[in-house]
Parts: sequence; C-alpha cells; structure tokens
Amino acid sequence: MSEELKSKIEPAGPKVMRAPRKLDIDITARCNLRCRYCYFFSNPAVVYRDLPAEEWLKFFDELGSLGVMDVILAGGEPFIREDLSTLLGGLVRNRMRFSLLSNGTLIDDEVAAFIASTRRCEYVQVSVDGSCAETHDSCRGKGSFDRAIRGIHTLQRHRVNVAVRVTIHRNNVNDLENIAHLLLEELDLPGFSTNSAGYLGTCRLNAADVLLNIQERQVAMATLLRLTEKYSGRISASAGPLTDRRMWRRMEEAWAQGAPAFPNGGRLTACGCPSSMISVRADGAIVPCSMLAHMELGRINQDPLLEVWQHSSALNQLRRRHTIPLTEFEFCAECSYIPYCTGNCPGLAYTLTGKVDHPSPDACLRQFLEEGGTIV
Amino acid sequence: MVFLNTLTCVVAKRAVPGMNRTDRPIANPIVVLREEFDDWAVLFNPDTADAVGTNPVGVAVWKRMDGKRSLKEIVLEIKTQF
Repeated sequence: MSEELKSKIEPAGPKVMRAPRKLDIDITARCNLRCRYCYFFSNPAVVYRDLPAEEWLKFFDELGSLGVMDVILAGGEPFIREDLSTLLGGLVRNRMRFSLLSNGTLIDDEVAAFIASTRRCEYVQVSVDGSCAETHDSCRGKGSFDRAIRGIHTLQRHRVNVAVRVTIHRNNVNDLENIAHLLLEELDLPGFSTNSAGYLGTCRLNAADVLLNIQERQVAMATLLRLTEKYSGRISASAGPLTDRRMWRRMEEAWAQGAPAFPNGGRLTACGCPSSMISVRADGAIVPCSMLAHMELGRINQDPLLEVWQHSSALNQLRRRHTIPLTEFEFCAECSYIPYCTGNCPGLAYTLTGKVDHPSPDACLRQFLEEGGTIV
Repeated sequence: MVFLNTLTCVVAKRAVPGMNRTDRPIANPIVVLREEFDDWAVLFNPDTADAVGTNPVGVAVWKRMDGKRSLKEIVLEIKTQF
C-alpha cells in the first residue's frame, strides 16, 4: 500500500520511538499522607505493594541498556523509601536523569545533599495547595504545609531544582493569588504548574467536597489567566483550568470564525504519551500510564521491556487511538466543536465512562457551556 | 562529516593543542547512544542533559571509537560501509 494511500486511510500519529525515552515509575505504594483528592489511593486497579530495591536495580539496568534518558519517580511518596539513595544510585549508574514527585514533607538535608551530588536531578516537584497551613492542610492533613515549605527550603539550600505543583480544588480556588505570591515572590521560585483535582482514586470518595463546580472552574480560569499575565511565563499547566481555558478559547474562536479543523482536531489525538513513554506501578506491573493503571502490559524483570514496548497489542491499540474520529461517539453527536476537539485524557475518559477509547466528558467544552459555564 | 564536540569528547591525533593525543579514539563513556528505527541516533549526556542527533554515519563512527581502532582505520571502514 503506498504511503499516500495509507495517509488517506489512517492519519499519521506521533512517531513511535524504538524504545521508551522516559518512564514514570511509582517507586512505592506507601505515603505518609492521605490527601483527599489523591488519584493514587483507593484505585481498585492498583496493587499496593512495594518491591525490594534489588528488583528495581535490575530493572534500571535494563533501562540503561535501552538508552532510556529520563525517569520520573513518584508513588505514593518516594521519599518514604529508606533506600531511595540506593535506587537513585542505580539510575545514575545507568546514565539516566531523574525527577521526583513529592509532598515535600520527608525531605531532609541528607537526601537533598545526595540528590544534588548526583548532578542528574532534573527537578523535585513539591505539591503546595495553599498560601497558608489552613488552606493547604484542608486536603493534605495537619502539619503538611509547614513541612512542605521546609522541604522546599531544604532543596533550595542544596541547589536542587524545585518545581511546585498546585492542585486546585474547592478549598483553595479563592486562594490562588496568595499562592502565586507565596511561591513566586516569597519563595522566589522560577514558576509553578497547576492542575485541578480529577475524578480519580480517593477524589471519587470526596468529590462533593473537593471537585470544582462550574462556577468555581470559571473562577479558577479567570484567576489563572490574570495571574499568567501578571507573572509572565511563570505559571504553566498541562491539564486543569488553565489548559482548559486556553484550549476552549481557541476552539470557540475557531468555531465563531468558521475556521478549518485543527490539524489534530476531530479525533482522539490528545494523548501522545504512548509513543515516547511508559509507566510502571509500584508492584512492578508495566502500564501505559498511571492514569491507566488497570492496563497491565507485562511485568518488570519478567517481560523484556523492549518486547512490551514494541509488540504489546494493547499498547499498540492505544497508539492507534488518534485514528478514531469523534463523530463515532454518541456523546459528541451534533457537536459544533468536533473539528477543533482532541478528546483529552484517555485515563479520565476511562474513569468516567469505563472506556479508554472515548472522549473525556471532563474536558468537554459543549458540556461545560450547557452546564452554565462561560469562557471568560 | 560527523559532528564532534565536547559532548563526545573524542580524542585524536592532531587534536586541540594541549590535550592528550592518541590516534585510537574512545567514545565518552558517560554519553549514551540511543538508537532509533531509522538508523539515526541521539547522543545524550546525562550529566548536562545535552542531546544531539546524529545520522547513520555518525552512529557508525561512534560505535567504532572503542580505543582499538585508529582514526585511519575508522575512516577506511566508514568509506567502505558508506
């Protein structure tokens, strides 16, 4: 079949790399906190069991042989592992860089100094959800704010790159200006990223108390837009209200102008991750992404990662998601925005609809507008 | 022509004055050669996070920089292969 004919039948998606360039690894299933919107806990798909260091070190050797460049360690709380330095040493020995996602409460001088000494740390991301203890602790637990800020100071003292993630929920949506001031002016961080609590994990059990309603979502959008203008280039997002606002405004403008379809519009193109990265659960199961923790593709140290990466039928089917037109879904019937829509996160789509190959209702512009939302 | 820089740290005869001289170059062991399907590759230094792409000729040169082959031998092999 000629390439020209192929392109007419199946739209070209992201080019799949020979081996994953990056991995997300849940290095532990333990955490010292129980945040009320945590996506990790209360997930029936996840086996909450830690592996011994030897298993991870053996796997890191495999990653090194494949030329994996970057690993993001999460959990749970990575700093809860007493052998974290040993694990980081394994990554360093195998010529990889790493980042850590943390609640910041367990970071001490010893581990911060070790991280700095490796020269391989891209960043340590600390979650900060409030400008003060009252707001932050409302979802994360008493004492967590002070310890998170102390963790940030410790990292800064050892010149480790600090990234901060602010997860927006009902209790902090009106605190965003103060949060920005704390992070960007008092702590003098170069920037921070934002997301919002999503209907995943423990959040499903606390949804009424945590999830933003339509009006709160609008407040978050407007506030973040204002703050991005004030702090130019210092506030980012890959999901959540800021991303929604930007994407939805583009879609509305395109529709109003009768613009041609976006190059990636009209199909389930939102997720390009399976072409360059893969994830591993704390129990060693290889999955496409932590948001798709139920899709077990194999197991570390039992199934060669390259074999899984190149030949897993489930993973390859996920990679073909970009070929599925939105017009196939009853959910999208008669929607004017189809030519500009990409369907958003398959993980959220699965949690909300039970189907991976489905647009995510959470990111639906039409639904937002029908429920009374406006793009300010 | 293969692009060689501090990322690769190839040491060769008639190299930069003041550097150690050898005519049997060795690829920088810290640098990762990450090959792709199309015979191109990325050379990645995890210490600096620098990455450069290299074409199939560059990949072939890199793999031959094992400390046993002379520059002359490498050039001859490359000419033969390509």
